[in-house]
Amino acid sequence: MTRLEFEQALDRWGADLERWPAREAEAARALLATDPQARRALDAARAVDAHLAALRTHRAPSHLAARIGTRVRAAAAPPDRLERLFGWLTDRLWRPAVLAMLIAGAGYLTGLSVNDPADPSLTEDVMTLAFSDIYAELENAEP
Amino acid sequence: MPNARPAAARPKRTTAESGSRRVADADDDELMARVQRRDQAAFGRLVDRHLDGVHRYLVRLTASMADADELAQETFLRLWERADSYRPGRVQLSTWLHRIAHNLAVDELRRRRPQTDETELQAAPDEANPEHQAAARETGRRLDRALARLPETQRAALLLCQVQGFSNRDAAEIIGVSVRGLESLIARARRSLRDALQDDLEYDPTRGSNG
Repeated sequence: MTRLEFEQALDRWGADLERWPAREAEAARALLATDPQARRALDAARAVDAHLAALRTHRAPSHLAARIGTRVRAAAAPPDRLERLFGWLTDRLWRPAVLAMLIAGAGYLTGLSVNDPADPSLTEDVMTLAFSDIYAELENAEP
Repeated sequence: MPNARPAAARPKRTTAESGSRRVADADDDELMARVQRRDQAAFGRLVDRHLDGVHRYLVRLTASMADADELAQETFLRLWERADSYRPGRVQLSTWLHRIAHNLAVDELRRRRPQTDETELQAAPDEANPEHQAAARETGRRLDRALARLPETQRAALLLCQVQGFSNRDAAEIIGVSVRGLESLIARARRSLRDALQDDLEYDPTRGSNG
């Protein structure tokens, strides 16, 4: 086993050689007997393992469970009248309200596209059609 | 049966006592079934059982005690609100909870830069060997810094398997990677932590083995 192979195995299986496959563990022990840098790599890996093991003793702050309980009780509490009314409005009325707004919006857009008062040529055409008879009569009435 | 007591001699249990004993003894799936029926006592028992583990994971993943406090609360609030989506037998509750916590933490990490409060995040000192405390504290600080600097998926993989005790399969499911990908993440994380220490070991004059 080369030192590189040893370090790769160290990173894969950790510093406890007892948990390595038997053949690799035996080769690692042979390397460790002769290679001081491999021994330092093993020491570092052991320190990492010990540090990670020490992290397991962590406890959550004592106030946290109570705070979670308070938040859940608030979430589980029945809503007051105003909240119920708001909930009913938002639950029941939003669909018809959105539908009405869509219909109104569609009507508004249709109206704009059919009769655009800003279009002067269209206005002129409408006026001509509406008052052509009157214009003709006025022209005929002139001496 | 020498240990069996006559029925008449047994103390009578009230309904509340009986219910609380059942909650105390119930396994996670039984408690979740009660939480699905909005049983706050069962929820409290689950918090007692899993809060330390979830908080431990969050505090190391986010490198912030304040964020871990907030995210742990949010995790258990989601357990309460989304209890109906939990399917017993499909996944263990602990895995399900850690997946919620992991997703919340990842969202939080993407919102902000990592902040590390080294005094807060020190591992518990070894009180039995006070002469080693100073060296252990320094090693711990160095490893804490190296852990906080790891890419978030490497850190999560290492914590879930080496600290939280999940199997590779469950840890891979929590993070959302393949098992092979998880093994690679762990190996790279361990390498980075080992490298963070090895330079110092290299030049440690007390060891007397420099080459």
